[in-house]
Amino acid sequence: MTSQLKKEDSVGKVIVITSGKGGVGKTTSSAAIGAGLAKRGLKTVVIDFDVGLRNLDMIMGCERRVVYDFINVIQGEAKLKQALIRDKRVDTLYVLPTSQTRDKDALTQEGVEAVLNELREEFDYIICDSPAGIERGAQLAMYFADEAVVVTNPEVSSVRDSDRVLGLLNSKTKRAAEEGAEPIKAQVLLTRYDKARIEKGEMMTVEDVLEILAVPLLGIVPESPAVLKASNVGVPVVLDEPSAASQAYEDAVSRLIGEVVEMRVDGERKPGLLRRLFGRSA
Amino acid sequence: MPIQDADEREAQAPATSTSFQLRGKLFTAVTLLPEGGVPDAAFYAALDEQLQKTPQFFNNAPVILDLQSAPALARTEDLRRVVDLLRERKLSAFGVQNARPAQLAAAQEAGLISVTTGNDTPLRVPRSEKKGAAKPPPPKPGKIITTPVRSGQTIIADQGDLVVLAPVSSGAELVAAGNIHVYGRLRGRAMAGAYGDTRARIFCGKLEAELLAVAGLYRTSDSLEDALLGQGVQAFLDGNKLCVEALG
Amino acid sequence: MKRFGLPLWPRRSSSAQTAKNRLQILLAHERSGSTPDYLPQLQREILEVIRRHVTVDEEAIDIRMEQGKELSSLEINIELPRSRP
Repeated sequence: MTSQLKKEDSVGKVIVITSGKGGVGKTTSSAAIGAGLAKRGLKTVVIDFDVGLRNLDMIMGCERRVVYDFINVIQGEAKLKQALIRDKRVDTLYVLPTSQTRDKDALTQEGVEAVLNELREEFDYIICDSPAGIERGAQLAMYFADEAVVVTNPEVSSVRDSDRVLGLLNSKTKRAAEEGAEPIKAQVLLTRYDKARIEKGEMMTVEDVLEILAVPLLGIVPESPAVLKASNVGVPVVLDEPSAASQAYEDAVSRLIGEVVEMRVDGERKPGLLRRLFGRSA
Repeated sequence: MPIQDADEREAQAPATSTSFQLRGKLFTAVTLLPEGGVPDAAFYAALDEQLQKTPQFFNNAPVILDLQSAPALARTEDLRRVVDLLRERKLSAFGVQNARPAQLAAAQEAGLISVTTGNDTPLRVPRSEKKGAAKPPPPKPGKIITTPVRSGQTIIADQGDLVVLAPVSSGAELVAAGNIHVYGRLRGRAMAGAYGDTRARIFCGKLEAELLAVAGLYRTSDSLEDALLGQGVQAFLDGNKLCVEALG
Repeated sequence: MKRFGLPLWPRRSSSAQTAKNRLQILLAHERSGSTPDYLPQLQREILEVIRRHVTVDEEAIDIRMEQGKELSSLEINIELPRSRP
């Protein structure tokens, strides 16, 4: 079932989707980014690291097909290929669900490493959907990452938590611990962006957020009813009907794989913005 | 009454067994040097005054009693009383140093341990003597940080100056024995002269700090003039006042 | 949606109804305790029984499940060795 070949010869890239704060859109973003990569023919798996609070399967719409999970694999009760669920819509997309009944102590660093190493051989992209917080589960989700997407809302507590997470990415990860390793490449994904509230001065602007976090911007996802609708029906945003949110995620995916796409705010291209933002954070 | 700063760091080296873990812990304690006889009301009044000036530095600080200058403090009940009165002030005395044999026996009776390791920091030298010191000390190595200091991170320059060439986020902490220079925006806390150097200064390119402190005297963002926010400033001690002034 | 310029009585949108249905099915399964925790055990036992008769590889067994409102199906695929002498 995982016989499809990966597109690239090199080992797969591990990307953690993290935020510190809960409710900012990590799981929605993991599903959308994973589906977006898979749509481009890249073999992609999305892993749910939120042990005990399984949600990725609901957002991806495969909750009724979960037999074995990540924890079964780590504990040797199932083979990895038995636990991987292949998406019914995009055949290069897979989900590795977590357990709803165990607790986070079931994750071990060695176990996570073994699973990720096996997945690197099979997949182009491994997307790790981190739990909220900065405790063990979140630290394990980021530990082996090559890149990080820090999901942030334009709001003070979210920005502060993101800053804290950026600090952990630079200090509590494998790449931080290894002498001479390139540090994790971290980018900010602004979600729940509400232009009207920003214009009224109720929310922080993109410039404000980037100035504080001092890392590149991966994309700006507008607050959109399409996001809620997509999770209601269990379809990743980018596989649902086109919307400003799905366009924003598609653009973010393009940037993630190294394409240069001009920044779009609320569906409109903002030619000047990208240059200004990247000029600042380069 | 010289008091050292109490900053705390951990060095963890787990030596594991099945039922518990042992971890090494490094921390800085406050040494308190009573002078003369058994501490009296005047002693505690002076102590209270000092504590009021810098409450955050001493809250629940571990304390070592240095008995060198207090030969008369040699009875168990007197020591017990000192420990109790310190505890009332949220100072936790746990050991003694420089004790004479009789004092040591009394201290052990009072539940205090003998501390023989560790180095005292320069503040042990009373200020009047420091002025007369002839030779200037050799320049101390500082620390230069080039990446952003994030919320929750603490950067400590044990010796010399701390130079940060990147922004310092809200919720981050900078601690230096000497001066602190921040060339990015300073949004977190900066504590210069952490071991009591009253000549230390803080310089920053854009002030949005939550707290500035020099040798234990501090000001929070509430007490900084609005006109200084976002400006290049320096903070320094003028007697017992922490001054913050625009640069240039 | 408007009719004669008046909004209809607010109705549950269809995607919210879908969400409710999905959750009902999922939670019914989780509450009934029929979570697939018994599956590793089931797999070992099935394999044991089959091995009394044929030699099969541990990797040759594949269990899939589909949970529905009315019924759930458990699909077990076992690859048997191609031929026996």
